[in-house]
Amino acid sequence: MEGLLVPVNGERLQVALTDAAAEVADRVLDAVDGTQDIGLADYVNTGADAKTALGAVRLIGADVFAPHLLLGRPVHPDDAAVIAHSFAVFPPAGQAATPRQQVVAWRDWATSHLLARTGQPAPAGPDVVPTAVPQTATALLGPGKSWQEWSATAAQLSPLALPGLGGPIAAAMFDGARPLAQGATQAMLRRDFVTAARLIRWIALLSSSGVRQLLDPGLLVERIRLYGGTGSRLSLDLAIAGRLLGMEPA
Amino acid sequence: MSVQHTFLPAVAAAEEQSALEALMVEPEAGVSDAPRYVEIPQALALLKLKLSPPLPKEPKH
Amino acid sequence: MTTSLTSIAHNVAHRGLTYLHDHQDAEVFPADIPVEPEDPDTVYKPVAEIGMAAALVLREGVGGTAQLRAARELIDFTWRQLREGNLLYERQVRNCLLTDPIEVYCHFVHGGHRHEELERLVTHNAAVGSLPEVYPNRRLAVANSYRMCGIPTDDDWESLLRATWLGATPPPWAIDWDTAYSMTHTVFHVTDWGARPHDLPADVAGYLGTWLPVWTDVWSEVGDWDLVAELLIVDACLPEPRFDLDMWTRFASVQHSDGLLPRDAEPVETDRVQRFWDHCHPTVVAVVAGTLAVSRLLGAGR
Repeated sequence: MEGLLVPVNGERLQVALTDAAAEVADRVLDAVDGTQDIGLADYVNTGADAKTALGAVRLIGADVFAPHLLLGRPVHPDDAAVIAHSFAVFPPAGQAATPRQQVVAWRDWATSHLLARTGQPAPAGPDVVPTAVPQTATALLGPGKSWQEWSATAAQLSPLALPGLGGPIAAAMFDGARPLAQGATQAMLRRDFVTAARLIRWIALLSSSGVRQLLDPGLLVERIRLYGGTGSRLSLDLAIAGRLLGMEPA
Repeated sequence: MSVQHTFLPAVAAAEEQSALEALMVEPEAGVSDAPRYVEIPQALALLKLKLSPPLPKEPKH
Repeated sequence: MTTSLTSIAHNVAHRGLTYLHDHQDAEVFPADIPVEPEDPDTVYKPVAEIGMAAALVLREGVGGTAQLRAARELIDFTWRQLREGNLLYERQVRNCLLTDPIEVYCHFVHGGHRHEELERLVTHNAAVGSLPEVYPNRRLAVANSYRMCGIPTDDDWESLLRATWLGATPPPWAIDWDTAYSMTHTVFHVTDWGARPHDLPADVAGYLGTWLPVWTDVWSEVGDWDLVAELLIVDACLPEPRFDLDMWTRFASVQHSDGLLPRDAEPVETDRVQRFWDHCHPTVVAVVAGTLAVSRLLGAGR
């Protein structure tokens, strides 16, 4: 079935990856909201299209560690291996020159950093999983950015909004209460609940760390739940924000 | 490890890589079923329908 | 940057005022506005608003000679439309609880027009203190009208403000289009159209400083220029206006060559009279926004 991923056009590839990412997100969501394992290895190994499944794992990235970081669940060695394999099949770009590449590099850093913490041996070869901390936090989230640019970047980096990950991006968010709240408000008014939920994750993380925020993230989570925000990845973002805030699962 | 390196699919082609990258940086592009606000031709209608009742009749100053 | 913004805002106001000035004729305005029109919004309200814009141009005095002359002629023209205030007087006599006569009249007082019988009526009404139930932001309009006319009341401005949507500083994402207008009018009246920016309590000024840019962004994206113009006035009424050059540039770019400022992104009618009535309001608001911005930028505000 790898023929499905023979380059036809970018849009078809994106649709396939998006659908697979929704399945991965659903599994993580079930784990965050319930008691079951994510079962990443099961998903990748039993599905028809392993490559797309691994791409989806790369896309969901650090969020696969959400049950571990939020609820203290162990990371299964098979799942850790799948995450390493996702880097082998979709190797990270060598350099991060553009803001777009820098965002990707940070998301990869978060995933690989959390993977390394599990202590699982890297099965896919020593150089596949990136380990160096990118040096681009100031370039992406430094002063001089408009609140629109700043918050859009923060939304793209939302998989890094996990407790205990830390790092320069999270540190930059500590100074970003205002653009975070402005971006979340803009997204809410535009009915762009996907972007709103991503920013709410940061607001929830900072709020749960005792950093005073301009908006109440609990009300925002509730609002999106009540006013029709749907979709697997959106639900996962809301579930993670809700867990950070000690809210009951939806 | 239970999953062997040799069983892995081939390394993704450049176009597959770029499809993944696009999804990693675009909050709005196809990652969910949220409304694609900016692509709606009658964006004004969206905002007015969803955000607002009609103007009240009494004069405003 | 300040210079270019001043010039952009000046041009918006100047062109808008020119457009209004070019339309004060019998083809546009009906011969006689009824004292009790079926729909006050059709002619009575626009005439009052044009008079108000002209009065604010005269109050700020930052326009050139031609602009001030146009404003003078406009306020005189609209005053004649109101039959030198007799229309307001008769309206108040027939409906003793109406507040719009004083709300309209106060701007003409600033423009040098008086109507003594009307003043006696509204002074008496203020002493009676029987006000109809209105939106809290409209209640502030009444309070400011009395203040502008120098008629004493026992209004408690702090509690009047706190009764409004803005005064409660709710979550900024829980606003709608209509409430956005209410919010803008609360600011207009508390600050007397930018003359008293420091009458806004610090928490409200801070709230607006953070969220006004977001609201302006969202409503400019959909081309709701009428509301954007009102939001630009709010900015000019703040203790520390933001005066966003990009936003003003975008706003100025939608103004037509004859000075009309379209209310939204929909196509504009070609019929001279129809397009005037369709877009008179946003053009009036643009004149006020440009005038107050120039005034604040030049430091001429009180």
